[in-house]
Formats: sequence, structure tokens, C-alpha cells
Amino acid sequence: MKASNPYWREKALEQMSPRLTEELDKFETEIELKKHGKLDDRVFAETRLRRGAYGQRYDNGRRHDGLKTRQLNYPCGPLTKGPETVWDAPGMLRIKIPYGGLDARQLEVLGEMAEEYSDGIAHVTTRQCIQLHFISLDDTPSIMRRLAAVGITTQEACGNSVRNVTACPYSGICSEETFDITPYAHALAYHLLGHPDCQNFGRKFKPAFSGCRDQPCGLVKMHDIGFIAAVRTVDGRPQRGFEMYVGGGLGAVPRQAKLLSEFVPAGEILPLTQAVARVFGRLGEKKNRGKARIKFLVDRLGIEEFRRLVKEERAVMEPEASWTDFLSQVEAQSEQPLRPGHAEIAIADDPAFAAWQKSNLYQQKQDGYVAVIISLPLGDITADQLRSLADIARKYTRETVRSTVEQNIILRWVSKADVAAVYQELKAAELVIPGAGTIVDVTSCPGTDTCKLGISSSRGLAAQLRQRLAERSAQLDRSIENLVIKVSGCFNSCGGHHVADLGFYGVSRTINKHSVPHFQVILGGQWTQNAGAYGLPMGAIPSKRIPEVVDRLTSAYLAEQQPGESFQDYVQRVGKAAIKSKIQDLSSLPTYEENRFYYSDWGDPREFTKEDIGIGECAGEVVSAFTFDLTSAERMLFEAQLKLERNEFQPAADQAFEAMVTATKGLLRLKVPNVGRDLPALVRQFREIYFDTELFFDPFAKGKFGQYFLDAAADRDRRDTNETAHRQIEEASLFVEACHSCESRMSEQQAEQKTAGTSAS
Amino acid sequence: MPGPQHLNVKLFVAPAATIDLEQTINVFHSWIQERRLDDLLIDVADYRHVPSGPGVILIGHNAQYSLDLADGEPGVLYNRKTVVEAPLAEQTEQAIRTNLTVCRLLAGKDALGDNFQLATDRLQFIVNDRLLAPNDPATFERLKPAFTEGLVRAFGEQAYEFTRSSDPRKRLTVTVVLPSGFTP
Repeated sequence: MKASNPYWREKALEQMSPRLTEELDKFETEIELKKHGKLDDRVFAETRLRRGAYGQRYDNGRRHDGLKTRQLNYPCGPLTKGPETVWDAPGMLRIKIPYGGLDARQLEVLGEMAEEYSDGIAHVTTRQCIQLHFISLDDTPSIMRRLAAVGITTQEACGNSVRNVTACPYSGICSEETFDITPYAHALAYHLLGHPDCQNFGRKFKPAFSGCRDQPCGLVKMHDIGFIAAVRTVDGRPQRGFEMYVGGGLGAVPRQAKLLSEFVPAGEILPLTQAVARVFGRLGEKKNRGKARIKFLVDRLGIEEFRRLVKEERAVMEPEASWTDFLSQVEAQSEQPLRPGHAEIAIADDPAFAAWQKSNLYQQKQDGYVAVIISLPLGDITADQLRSLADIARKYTRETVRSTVEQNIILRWVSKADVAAVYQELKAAELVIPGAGTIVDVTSCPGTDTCKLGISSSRGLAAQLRQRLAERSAQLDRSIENLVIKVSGCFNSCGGHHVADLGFYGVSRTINKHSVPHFQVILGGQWTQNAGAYGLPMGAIPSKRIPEVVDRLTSAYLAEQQPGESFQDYVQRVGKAAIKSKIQDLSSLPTYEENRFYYSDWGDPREFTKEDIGIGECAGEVVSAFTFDLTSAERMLFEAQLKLERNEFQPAADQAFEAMVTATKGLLRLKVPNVGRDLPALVRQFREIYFDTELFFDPFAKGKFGQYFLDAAADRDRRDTNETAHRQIEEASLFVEACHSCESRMSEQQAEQKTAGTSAS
Repeated sequence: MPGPQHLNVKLFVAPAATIDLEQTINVFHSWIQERRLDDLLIDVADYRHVPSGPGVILIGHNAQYSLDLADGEPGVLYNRKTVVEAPLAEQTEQAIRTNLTVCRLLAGKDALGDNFQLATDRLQFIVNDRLLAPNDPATFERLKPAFTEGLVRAFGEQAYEFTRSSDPRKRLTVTVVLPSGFTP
């Protein structure tokens, strides 16, 4: 924990939006409440996850050191930050980067965070986010404030929420795109952030945008919701819109997204997504997390019924200004170059430059400009490199930087006249690794390095493959060079193994009573056409023999391919049995006594074990919306008391009233599908559903506590004194308690009815 | 505001030394098994693939200990994570002594052995907190006496020479030349 933490709030305040200031103050209060034992473990876990503060491997306080599993005795003692999650154990912070867009100052601040709080590395993820590892939870509010000061949020980066909105990193500069989808991705990301309609999901919800159908960059079809740019003609004029998909996803049970609508006008994508969110929130699975993604709901209902429900929901939604406000700014948001374009790139007599130029430049649709792809091994970049990149971005472009799902960074709008100079400056920063987008550019999830669910070392394998392939890259045939390799540490597919030509995911096998790290081999996935098809498993091979698998399969493809045949088509033509026969012998191993090499994983000398696998937090904690609202109400009451202590009477009373409103919303959610924000409507609904029916009435106090809320709502113009603020807090506390009691009574009644029903039948 | 409480020290590896980072991974894992440091040792992070990166890190609760490759200059970095509530001179001495302990262990026959040698004529301080110690001339002048005192406690009186990194975006980074060197 940093000694400077208490001082960052004031320092960052001027640069932060009021909304984020409030949001982070809330989080800090929740941390204090948890430390004082006033917040439930599951609720706190979900609340920190929704702020991007994720668990990390060994945070249950146990680790197998190669000999046996030992306790990690942290000084915090029994204090936890979630079920089975020790407070002091290092964690991960996921930072949302909508559509991968970054500017120079943001790069610098990400570097500062990596150095001061993490291990010096910022990690680009397979969904364009940035992750910092080995973070102390106590430092997270400061990090979040420093990021917020430069317009970056971690809000809803994890947990059961709308995750980072990803998009094609070439949008706006791609010659094949229908139009630049950037402003639409931006609008959706910030419209849904913290939106009340997106707070009651059973699992995460991942959106993606693509500017075209055929290229892979947007990967729309493997997302929960996806948008592909489309234009139609209306009254002789072109109208922008999107093909809208829903219900895709990878994971253990991959699904291709279904077409929800062939054309959604641009002004309609925000409300329609909101309608999808409402249907998902209302009907999606909440208890069985293995069936809680929207893909299962779409499966269960069928796309026709799902579409009908979305339309029905859309028809009753109250309009929101942000649905269309952004449309007038679309043109203004288009990027411009800093320097004049140039017809040609100067030829340099340098083989290294030539190799880099061949793979790491992308020809923009705008004449005279290229995008420079900065290849990051395993997505890792140092703070010094981030600063150098910021300098280059300022000097040669208008800070037009994007992160990619291939875990690289792209510098857009580089004039061809400047390519040689940019190369030299990137070279000084050791950022000119060639082979971007080729077989060398292996991507990987964190795997056993830091992930609680990792089975095998995906990063270890990816590093090994990368190194071996780089050594041979000059000799690789073009058909091999263009293959895509992706590695995941487990079946959850964070590395995207399903959509690679050669995909691998971590599994374990027991051989002669010893656990051995393996990878399941997945062949023939389709990276193009927005992840158009998923590969199929060929069997598990020991981790240390995967490089041989790559050698054999690429050699076989080279020798046996027909003219113009893709790897995917080759696998299909030759057949699974024939392909499997080429690698089957690799599954046998020498005994443990003969050669222990195979019994440990890449980059980790410990004897392999599955004992370190923990409980993942990918699914978040299933906490009901009621519990969330009531927890927020209690936090507000705590804050109100602090304000009263500081003699801030009016703010204290207002905060206490807000706690009542929040608790009311929670209670209403038990009866009403979509709870709005309009106070008179909330009061009316509370009166009709709970008060007039006496459902809220306490057996002893009757309607007294409910009346507190109705009276307070009717008297909002009151000027509060110490005495009235004090009373308001007391009444609010009693009201919040009464909400809890009401929910308990209703649950008991439901249980009794269920039991009675079961007995009767 | 309090003074700086997260002081990092980097002891450089001698130019002639040959460091095997894969072996370092094995060594760090064995230290976790054998609890070789006075810290709760948690895990090993492998960044060998990052040019001029953090190298290989032994993750501890109080500090990270790494064979660091930053600036293209390999060295053993002591990266303090938890607060040290002590005057900066004491922190300086403590950080140097802890790092020397790590270096002695690395030079052991059961570790990197003779391949590991330190450059004994210079070292580097990095104050890992931009708010409490910004990288500017005034902060440098303010902290220099404490650095000197810490160095004297660790290595005795010498005419230590200090050079501050000039990029204001970097953390306060001070390279110290030791005219009489030090004994690892």
C-alpha cells in the first residue's frame, strides 16, 4: 500500500468528472465498510469486480511450491476481499479501453501505474483492455483516480456487467470498411456504463463492433452482442446502420452469434441494446453461472422469440437523450493526420527494417499514410516503452493510438515520409519486433501465470512458440507465415483458441500417478469473417510437445495443401482422423523417473499440479439487484453519518434520503421488471405495491417506517438543521431495515407457498 | 504529506557477468520452497520476453526482487511495495542491505554461482512514488543528504557522486557512483 494514497483524491479531483469522483468515493467507503466487517464477502467481491479489481492466482492464501501446498500467511489475518480471497493477496486491475483508443497522456499514466503499483508491466489483453498485475487492493482507489483524471475508467471491467466495448482497430483507416464505427462504439460504451438497465445480469456481457463483414478485426460473431456496419438507401439517400448480432461467445460451450436484425439505424443501436440488456437482465439465468451468458438465453428462447421480446421491451422504453445526441458529433470525431502524407516510403538498405516494414505496416485508405503495428510479445509493454510511444505519438500523429485484440498497439496516421524516422525511434525503445499478424505473433491469455482458473501455462507455451517461430521466420513459407496461433490456459477461451488456425487450451492428464500439463489441440478455426467458424478438438498433447505439434502440422500443410487452400479447408479435406494420426504419437511420454522435463510446465520448474486452481471470478458473484441496492443504501447511510459528523447537515440529510430512494428501488425490483429513476414514479409505485397493500407493514410498527419515506419524499424542499438531519438519518436507517424485513417476509411466504404446493401435488 | 516511503535500489551486474535468466527462475522458485528471505515470498513472474523489461521477478509481500533488465543494464532490483515507516536514511540503508542479502544468495553455489558478479562502483535509487517525491531538482536536493547518510551507514564515508535522471516523467531516479566501491 502506498503512503501517498490519502493525497491522490485531492490531487486528481480537478481532472475527474463528478460522476467518477462520486463513484470512487463510494468504492473507498465500501473498502472501509468491508474492513470493519460491515459488508458481506460476496457483495464486496462483486462490487470490487465491477470496479475492475479482480482476483489473482494464490489469493486464497495457498500455493503449491513444487513440494507441497503451503499457506501464505499474509499479515492481514482473516480479513478477506471476497469468498476465499485474502485481503493482502496481490490482485489484478483490469482497465477498460473502449475500442482500444488511447492518447499520449493516457499511455504515460498507464506506465506510471505499472511502475508505481504493479510489476513494471502493462499488459494488453485479448479484448483491448490493459491489465496490471500484483496490485494491492488498498491502492486501487488511487490508481482509479489517477486513471480517471486522464479519462480512463475501470468501472465494469469485470463482474456481471457490460465489459469493454471492442472494435476493429483499423476503423476509419480501413479500405474495406463500410464506414468508421468508432463514434458508435464510443457512444455505446459510455451510454451503457453504469446504466441502471445493465446492473442485473447473471453474467458478463461483451459487445463488439466491426466496420465490415469479411475481416476478422471486430470478431463480432463471438460476442454477446455485435454490430457490423451497413448502409441502406432510404428515399434515395444513404442511411447508416448496423447488422446486429446477439448470443455469440467462446468459453467451454462456444456459440456463433445469431442475427437479431439485418439493419438497425445508427440512432437506434443504443436503445435496442438497452432493450436486449433488459431482456437478458430479466430472463437470463442467475443461479447456474455455467448457463448464465446470453447465448444460453437465446438458445433457450430461440432467436425469433428473443427478437419478439426485445421489440416488445423497446416499445415501452422511455426515451433518453443520449440515444441520439452523439449522432451530431460523428463527423467531428473523425481523426486527422498531424503531418502531410507522402507517396512513398523511403527505401532503406537495412534487412531488419525491410522485415519489419513487410509485416508491421498497414496501408491506410487515406493516400500517403500507414498505420504502424507495434508488436508486443505476449501483450507486455514497459513503462519506459509507454513513455517513448507517447513521445512518438505526439511527434508524428495526433496521438492516434489503438490497442488490438492481438495484444499489440497500433499507431495510426503515420505519414509515409516519417516511417523511417518512426522506425528508428521505435527501435530505440525496443519496439520494432517484426512479424505482426503472422504465425510468430502468438496471442495468449494470462493462464497459470496469474489466473486462478489456469490449468497449463499458456504464456509459457506462447513465449516458447514465439521464440522458435521467430528464429525460423525468414525461412517460413508465406502460407505458413499467415497462420494464426492462439493459446488459452483453460477451456474458457480467453486466448481465443476457437478462432485460430492452430488453437491450444490447457488441460491436465494423469500419467503413472503424476499430473502432466497438456494442451488440447483445436484446429481449423476461422479468424476471418468476424470469427466466422470455430475449430474442433484433435486431442490433448503434453505441453512440452506442443512445439512439435506445430512443426508437424505446418509441415504437413505445406506439403499437402492444394493451390490456394486455406488451413481451415485443408483440415476439413484431409479429415480429423488423418490429422490426428500425424500427432498421436506425441501423446506418449517417458516415465517420470526417466525424464522429469515433461512433468513440469513451460517457464515453471515446479512439478506440475492442479492444486493451485482456484475459484474463478470471471462469472462474478451472483448478487441479487435487491442486495446490491440495499448494500448501496447502507453505504449511503454511513456516508450521511460522516457528513453529519462534519456538520454538513443538508448534504447529510440529502444523502440519507438518497439511501431511502435506493432501498425503495431495490424493493421495487422484486415486483417491477424495469425500475426507473423518476422520484414521483418511484414513490407512486412504492405506495401502490407495498404501502397501500400493507405488504411493507411490519407486524408491530405497521406502516410507520414506510410513512417515513413517503413523508420525506413529500418534503424535499426542507432546509435541514443538525436536528432534522439527525432525524432523517435515523428514519432512513429504520426504513432500510424495514426494506430488509419486508424482503425476508416475502421470501419466507414464497418458500411456504412452494412447500405447500409441493405437498399438495 | 509524509516523506517518501517506497525506496527502490538497483545493484548493477558486472559487465563481464553472464546471467542465465532461466536458471534465475529456478533459483527464485527454490527460495520460495526454502523460505530463504525474510519476507512472505509468493510467486515468480517471468518477463524474459520483454526487451529491457523487468526480467525475472520474485514476488514478495513487502517487496519484489528481480533480475531487472531496464535500460539495457542488468541488475538486481529491490522494489519496495509496503510502507517503511522510517526516516529516508534508514530506508536507504535497509534497502541496500536487503538487496545485498539477495545478491549474496544469488552468488551462492546453489544459485547462480560465479556467473553472478556485481558492479561495485555504482548503484541506483528509485523513489517509487511520484506524489511524495517528484523527479525535480528541488526534491533531489532535499533527499540527497538522507541518501548520503544511508550510503555512509551501508558502505562508509566516500565522496559519493549523484546524478539525477532528467526526464520529469520518470520517477525520481538517482545513479550513485562510489569512488571506493563496495564489498558485496
